[in-house]
Amino acid sequence: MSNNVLLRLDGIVKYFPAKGSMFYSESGVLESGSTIHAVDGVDLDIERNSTLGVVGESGCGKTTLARTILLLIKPTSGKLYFEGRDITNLSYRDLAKIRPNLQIIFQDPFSSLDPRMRAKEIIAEPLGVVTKNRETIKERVRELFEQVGLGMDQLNRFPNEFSGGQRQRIAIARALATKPKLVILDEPTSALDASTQAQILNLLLDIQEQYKMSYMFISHNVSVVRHMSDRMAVMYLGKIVEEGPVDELMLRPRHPYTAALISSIPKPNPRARGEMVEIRGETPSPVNPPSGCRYHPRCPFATKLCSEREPQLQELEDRHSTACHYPLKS
Amino acid sequence: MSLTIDRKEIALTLGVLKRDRLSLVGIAVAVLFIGTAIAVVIFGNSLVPYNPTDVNISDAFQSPSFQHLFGTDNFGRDIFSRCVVAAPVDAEIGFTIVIVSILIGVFLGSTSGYVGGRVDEILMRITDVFISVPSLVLAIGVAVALGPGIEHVIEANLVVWWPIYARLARAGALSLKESQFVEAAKVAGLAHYKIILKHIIPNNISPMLVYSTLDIGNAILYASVLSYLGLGAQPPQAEWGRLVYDGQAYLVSAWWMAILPGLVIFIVALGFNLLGDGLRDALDPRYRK
Amino acid sequence: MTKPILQVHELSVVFETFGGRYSALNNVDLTVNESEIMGLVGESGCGKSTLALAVMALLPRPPARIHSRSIMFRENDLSLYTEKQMEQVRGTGISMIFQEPLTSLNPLFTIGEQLSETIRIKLQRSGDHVGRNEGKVRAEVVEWLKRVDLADPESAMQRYPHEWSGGMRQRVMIAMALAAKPGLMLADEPTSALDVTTQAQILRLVKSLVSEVRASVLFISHDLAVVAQIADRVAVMYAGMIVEEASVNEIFENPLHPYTQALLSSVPKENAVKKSRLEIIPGSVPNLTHIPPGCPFQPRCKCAMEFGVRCSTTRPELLEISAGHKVACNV
Repeated sequence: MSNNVLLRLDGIVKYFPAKGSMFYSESGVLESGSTIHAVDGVDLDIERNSTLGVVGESGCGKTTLARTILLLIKPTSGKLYFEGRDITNLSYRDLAKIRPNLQIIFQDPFSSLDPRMRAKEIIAEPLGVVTKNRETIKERVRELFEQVGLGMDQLNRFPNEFSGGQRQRIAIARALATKPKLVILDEPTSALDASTQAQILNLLLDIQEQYKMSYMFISHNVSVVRHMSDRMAVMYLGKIVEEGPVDELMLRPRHPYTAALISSIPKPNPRARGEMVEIRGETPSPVNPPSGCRYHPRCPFATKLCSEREPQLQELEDRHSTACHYPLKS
Repeated sequence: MSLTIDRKEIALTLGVLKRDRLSLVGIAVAVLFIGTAIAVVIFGNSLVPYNPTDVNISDAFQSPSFQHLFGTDNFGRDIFSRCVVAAPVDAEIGFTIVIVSILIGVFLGSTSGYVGGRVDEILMRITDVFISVPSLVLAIGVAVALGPGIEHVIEANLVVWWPIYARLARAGALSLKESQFVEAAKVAGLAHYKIILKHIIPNNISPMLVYSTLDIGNAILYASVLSYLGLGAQPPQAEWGRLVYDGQAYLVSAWWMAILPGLVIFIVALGFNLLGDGLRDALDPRYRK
Repeated sequence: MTKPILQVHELSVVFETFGGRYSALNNVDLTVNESEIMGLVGESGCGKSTLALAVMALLPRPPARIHSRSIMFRENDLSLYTEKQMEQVRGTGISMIFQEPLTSLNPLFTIGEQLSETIRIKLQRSGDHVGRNEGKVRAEVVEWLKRVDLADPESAMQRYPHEWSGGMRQRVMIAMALAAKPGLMLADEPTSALDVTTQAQILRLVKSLVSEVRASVLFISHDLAVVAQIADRVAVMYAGMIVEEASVNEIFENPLHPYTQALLSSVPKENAVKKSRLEIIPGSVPNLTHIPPGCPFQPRCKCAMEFGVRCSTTRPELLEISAGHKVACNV
């Protein structure tokens, strides 16, 4: 494995048992099933000092993927390599030694901070795992606080005394505390206003530049992901359907779903009310994924082959892969 | 690690509480009770008109009057003074039972809920046993086994009270362990025991402190029942339930000996109940507009 | 000459709560014309939802206190209406759809039943006694479900709201809102909870249906891009007042108010340099219990810092700068 790869996902699968669970089929109706195929065979590489964007809509499995990568939940099968080392089956204790390098920022700034802890205690928490030296911790907390743009007088405050944007800054400071090499960002700005979002995104970019860290930026908002990432992977129903350099994907999507996704993004330009690439029906649920290519029931170009055989990810151009029997022409 | 109560919350809670007349009564009773208890501890017998242990046979069986507000008992002791002096005793009993059982229950319940699996199963079965037996009966049984005395009354009640808090704490832990800040702590690499101590328990305790105000009244009631059965305070110590026990024999001839201390118990227990009810309503988001 | 269907004059809404007294809306004027889609944009807390609820008289009276000169719907002043009169207006005159249909659809009734109810009311109010005929109602329900692209309407009618996905529920809501052929539909963030592909479908649906039915729409959203796709005219709100109002092309090509400009530049754009820093608006949205005198945007406004002498003292009025383009700015 090349030295440049920080994190490698090899065939990650995560199923959840769902006794009598109800789900929505692609005609948008409720039915019942037995296993949720949240993530169904994902291979991904994240390189050093780069950002991988992961986009997908509800039910695509991106949040499950994030939690599996952090080993908050154990994958049903597949392997995870961090800096070349297989970390899939490490014990909680052994994993704790790697944690300083692998952190997360959650979507909801209101529930990702313990309401009963002061801001400085929240940020100090991951530091306490790495060192016992109180002075060092104190110094670093102050340093971080300043770096994320919060005032020193707010160190002692509780989360409910901060606004959404400020809480997210605290969450960022906490994630950075141990100078991680990789930070997973799970919809970090989706709960924020447009103007706050801009501030937070700028902060994230500044930090990445300074620390030379990698991000895995997960979001349903394609424009934001495009803005922040070097490479992008598109997920649909637990699988990656297309992956490649972000500008490539945006200009020349090869998978019909990617094309539909990109064309349905509303542009802030009233003169560009273009036609969107057709997509039928609703996103089916991961409890009962369609046969063959999971996208076939909604794809305007589907053929019989699509409903029978599942396409594998194939590299079409330089590092641009797609999983489709009939990739779109450029 | 601290309990978060921000000013707006307090103002809002007090605001709703103030509108509820019954809970105002409850607050008044509770304040009076605790105030009296504290005053007695500080000032001792000088607070009351008569020395509560003064035996004065010639004054026995006086009915309530200006001189003896609650009358006198068979030993000529002033019942009002005895009641007042008993306040800290009952306060100690009530608060000790509730606070200690919360501590035990929250600790066990939080750990059990967080860890899950076998440990959780075991705790659930144990608490099931306790909850299925009528608690007063169980308390009486334990108290009899332990023998008379106030400490035993407290212990007997602890046995009965902790399972309820354990179950509440367990439920809280079950939902807390899915919360994002706990996940963040796991990602930070925090050891499990630290997560329980720093995140689960503090977040579990505060909702419970509110419900426990209700329970203080009930705890005093339970303790009084045990004393009433002769299992609690021993003479000459004054304790409300004991006073009722003492007055039992003279119910017809000197009703005030049993009835008035009994009334005091009732009012205090009722006061805390009203307060607890009011607090619970005040914290209910629907009432806060 | 376009005819207005809704004209709000000097609407103010104040909430009196234990936490303080906060003014959600501050002397707001708004006009929606017939057969027009009016976009109302602003960040959370700016008062846009409050505006819609105030027009529909759906705000709980204490703690809300509503003052207005008038709220004209067609020829009638709604601010003078009693609750009973408002009930007559709601549904057939003005209808409303919300962000989360689960909370506005009754979980105990099938969608067929709920849609029938709406249609029955419409038929009754228009004096059509043939509305007693269940067959006619049912036929119309099926018709509407087809129009909102619900496959297999016959069996769809039998299902309950929780059996449907978000996108489908929104379609039902739209059907219910438009079945009574209202003159005006208020849409409060109807697509904010939906996936982007579903959102695109719903927006297309709304546009086509609304022109078929010849209704006007007040489309409320925090998302400028969505509004760009659907609206004819746009009003931008900040801290309880309207700061700019213009045709959709004007707003995006020639924004005059500093807040509008800042809002537009803070969204990542397609052709922008990747990983470039976005322009930000310093500070944060003001706390509505302490609105500073003068222009509410002043503390964060770049212009005010340079030019605005009056900005901290005088509250700017909404003035027409050029044809159909109004701005509330002292500079």
